[in-house]
Amino acid sequence: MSQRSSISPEQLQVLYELSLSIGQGKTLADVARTALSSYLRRLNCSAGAIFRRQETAAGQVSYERVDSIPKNPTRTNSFDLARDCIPSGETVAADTAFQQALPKTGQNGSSHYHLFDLPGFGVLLLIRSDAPLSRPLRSELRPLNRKLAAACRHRLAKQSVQQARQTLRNIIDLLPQHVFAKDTAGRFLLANESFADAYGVTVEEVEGNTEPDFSTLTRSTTRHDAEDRAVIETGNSKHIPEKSFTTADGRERTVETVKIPYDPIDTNGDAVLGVATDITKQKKREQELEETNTLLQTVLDNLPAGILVEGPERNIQSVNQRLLDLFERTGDPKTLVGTDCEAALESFKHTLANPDEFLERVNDVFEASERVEKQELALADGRKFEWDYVPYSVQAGNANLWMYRDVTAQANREAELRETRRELRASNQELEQFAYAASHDLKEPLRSVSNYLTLFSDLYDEGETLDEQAYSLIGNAVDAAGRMQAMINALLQYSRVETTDSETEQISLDTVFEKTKLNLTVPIDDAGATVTAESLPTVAGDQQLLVQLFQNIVHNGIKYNDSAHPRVHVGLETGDTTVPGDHSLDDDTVWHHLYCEDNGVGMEANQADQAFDVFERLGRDDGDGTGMGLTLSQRIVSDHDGAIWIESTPGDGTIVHLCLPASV
Amino acid sequence: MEYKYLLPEEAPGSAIDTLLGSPTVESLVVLGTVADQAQNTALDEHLTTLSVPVLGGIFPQIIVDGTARERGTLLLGLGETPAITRVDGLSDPDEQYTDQLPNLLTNGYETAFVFTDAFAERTNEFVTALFDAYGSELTVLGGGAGALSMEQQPCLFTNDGLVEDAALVAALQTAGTVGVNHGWQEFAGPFRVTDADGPIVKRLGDDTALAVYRDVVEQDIEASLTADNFFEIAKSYPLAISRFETEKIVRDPFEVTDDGALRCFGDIPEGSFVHILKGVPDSLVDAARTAATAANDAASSPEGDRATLFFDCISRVLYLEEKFGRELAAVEESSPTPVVGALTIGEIATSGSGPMELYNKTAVVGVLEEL
Repeated sequence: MSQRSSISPEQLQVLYELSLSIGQGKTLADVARTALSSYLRRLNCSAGAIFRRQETAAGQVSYERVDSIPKNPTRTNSFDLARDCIPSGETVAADTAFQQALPKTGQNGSSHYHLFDLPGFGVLLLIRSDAPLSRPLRSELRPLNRKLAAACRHRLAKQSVQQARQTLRNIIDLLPQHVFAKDTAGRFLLANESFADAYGVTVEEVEGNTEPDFSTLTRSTTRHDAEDRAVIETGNSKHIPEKSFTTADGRERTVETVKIPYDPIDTNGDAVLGVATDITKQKKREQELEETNTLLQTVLDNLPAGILVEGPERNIQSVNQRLLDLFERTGDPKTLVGTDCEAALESFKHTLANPDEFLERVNDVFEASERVEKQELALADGRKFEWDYVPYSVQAGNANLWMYRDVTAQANREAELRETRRELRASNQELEQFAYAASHDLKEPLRSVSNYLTLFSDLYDEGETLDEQAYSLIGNAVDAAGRMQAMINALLQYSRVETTDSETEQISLDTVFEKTKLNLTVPIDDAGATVTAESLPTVAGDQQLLVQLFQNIVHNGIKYNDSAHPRVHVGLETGDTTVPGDHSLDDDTVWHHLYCEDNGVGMEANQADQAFDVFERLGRDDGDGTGMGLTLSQRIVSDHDGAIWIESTPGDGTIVHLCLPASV
Repeated sequence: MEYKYLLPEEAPGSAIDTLLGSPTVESLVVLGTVADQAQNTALDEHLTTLSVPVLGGIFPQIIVDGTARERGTLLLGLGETPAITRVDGLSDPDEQYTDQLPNLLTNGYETAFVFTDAFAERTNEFVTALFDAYGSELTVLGGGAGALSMEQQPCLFTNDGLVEDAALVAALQTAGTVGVNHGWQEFAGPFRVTDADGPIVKRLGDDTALAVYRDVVEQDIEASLTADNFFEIAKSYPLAISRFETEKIVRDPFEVTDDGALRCFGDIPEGSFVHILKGVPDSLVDAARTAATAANDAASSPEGDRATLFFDCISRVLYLEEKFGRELAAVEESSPTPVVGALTIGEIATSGSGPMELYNKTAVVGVLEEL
């Protein structure tokens, strides 16, 4: 007869019910508690426990109580007896022997305890007060115990998985990235807190639902789902570098998303796993950097200097349009960024007057790595540049700043300045002459006036009446004052000689000559002089001044002339003109060389230069003239950028040479 | 244990004061009757003024000196101060009862009165929690309070007043023994419970629970079982779930649902096998006697020091009717001291030194030693 024959059908039903209760519960503790409670109640036991076998790395085996009824056994002596049978810190061999001896039964008075093997998990303890569990029952419990052991193992494994999953959950919830997983229907299988926060909902509201279920945010759900399905169907991951959206609290965010195919273990079908990194700050920084670069490039492009920034690797990091313009290169400066500096320099070489010298200098300053300024650079086309070199440090090493400036105009201006200074010095000399004249020459008529008037006073203090002598003295004083008046008028006239570009016109010298003759009609007639001129050219100048110029020269030819038949002739030199050394003419201007020849008294060669001094009358004191004629003439010629000089021999007349600018 | 029976409509104050004036009384157990509503109200008001621990319930009937009484109140003066635990939310599906139960065993408590609201929906889970926490090391006896009107109402006395949907556990350091028996006889079955929800048995095998039940019962009563006469008939034909080598656990069907399910006091797990039992008056009386004998046999204190408490199911009264006196007499005869207690709606007890259960239609006799 089999042992089962001792178990009644009703008892088998109880065992069946017991088996139904095994495995219920979400945790190992729940499974153990539910099963143990059911074992005790259905088998009419008073106490019990489930122990889990644990083996240390050192090979020691102990059994940890997972659960017991009662929770804290106090008065059940059989519990302690049974516990003493269970290995605690025993060897594996001792434990093996213990397990092989299971099931084990013991007795304490009327109380009986039973230890059953829970294969692969541990031990089940059942305590009955009145009678032991029958042998057939103990035998029938074996499959139930195996089921309990399997349930415990399964829950333990599941618990471990859940713990691992919880750990993972905690980790992904700590991640600042948005982590999510979706199935092909768009249902979220997973979402972390960061993701849910962006929608203003909880993780629980996201998981298990589709986006429209939990969000009213305006999102491209259809496009997202299509992207996700594509990842699932193709098995290819997708990288979305940038996508912007608005969070539930109204913040504009930009994310970079990676989506990969994903095979969830506990869900049928394929899915997509996505990780979206919030790159809003990064984008903002990039935008700010771009704006800064744009600003910098704008500044660079609008600087008068050509700029080249050389990176640590000797490549061009930045270059502005001005640099290309300076070296007459076309194209976009950006195309040069990243290219080799030396190669770029090589391409500029042909524009330089002395490229080898320049390159050598560049290498020197680069090696010295010290700031240099205003280095001169001559270009083949005659322009003049200055360049500066500024080395500086960046994180990756040393960088260099090269700046080039076109100083051609500046150099020209400096030359002009030098000329102006020279002219200023000449002018100052003239002013000195004026001062001398004012202090010396004007003294003479004043002294005369003073003397005559003193004499006049002395005479009439003694009661004399006006006589011939008095009238003579008065006349002399009046003459001296008249002379002084003439001299002052001449000086005023001199000081007013000045032409401007706007006053420069095309002047026919024939017309000028005719006006001159007309103005000198009286002295010409008084002297019986013959004044002639050949056909004269047209010049660029001020007609009024030119008439005065001709008038002074022609009048001098009549005035300083002892001949019975004074002659004055104005002509045009057609040959090469040699200007005396102390005169200079602009090479870019066409000049007309005129001359005015007379048959007057002439003068010594050393007097020729003095003839242009203020109030210089070359020894004449006849009261005719102020000595300002040639001075004024020189001023007029000078004002026309021309030249005037005298060629004369005593007793053999004088030739006054004039160079005036031809009309354009 | 000193006790005092308050006559119907008797004011409780004086009697309580007298009882508490005894030097051997440290606390009070109050067993009231549903029918004496005015007295219950007066008790409620007076008990909240007391400084000593109080617990108890309002039951369909009480047992005083071996006699069942529908009115009046039984006051039990305990010789020690119990550790009283009140568990609320006995119908709350989210409540975890194990967490609310204190560690009594290591503090020397051996016996406990347990009173529950009989119409709470999770009494089974509460009793399971009690057993899981204390096993059989705590001797438990008590039952469900409430009225046979089947309506939930405040039915548990506490120092804070009458409460409902709760359970009271009063742990004593006095040792106690319990005898549990019902005497119902197997009549038909087993039937496999193929659909159930807690205390509601929906299907037995392939048919509705009512159809199966009616087929069995109508053959015996030779009459039709209807919704109207269901309670009257079913009191004689309870269901039962089996246990190994001990009496079955009785489940009392008291109501039929519209979809042919049977609603019981106490859960019947889906997948389990149930029998339909049938009452035999002599068997029930013998069972009560056996319970009393077992409780007293297990007790070790001198017989004169013992207190005998009898918590019997009100449905046994309804079934036995005039024969219920024989059951009381049988318990009285088997007990050395006067029998006091209550007729409850569902009984709670450890089965000898076995598991703790929520019983129906069962006689629970407890002997408290040296109380």
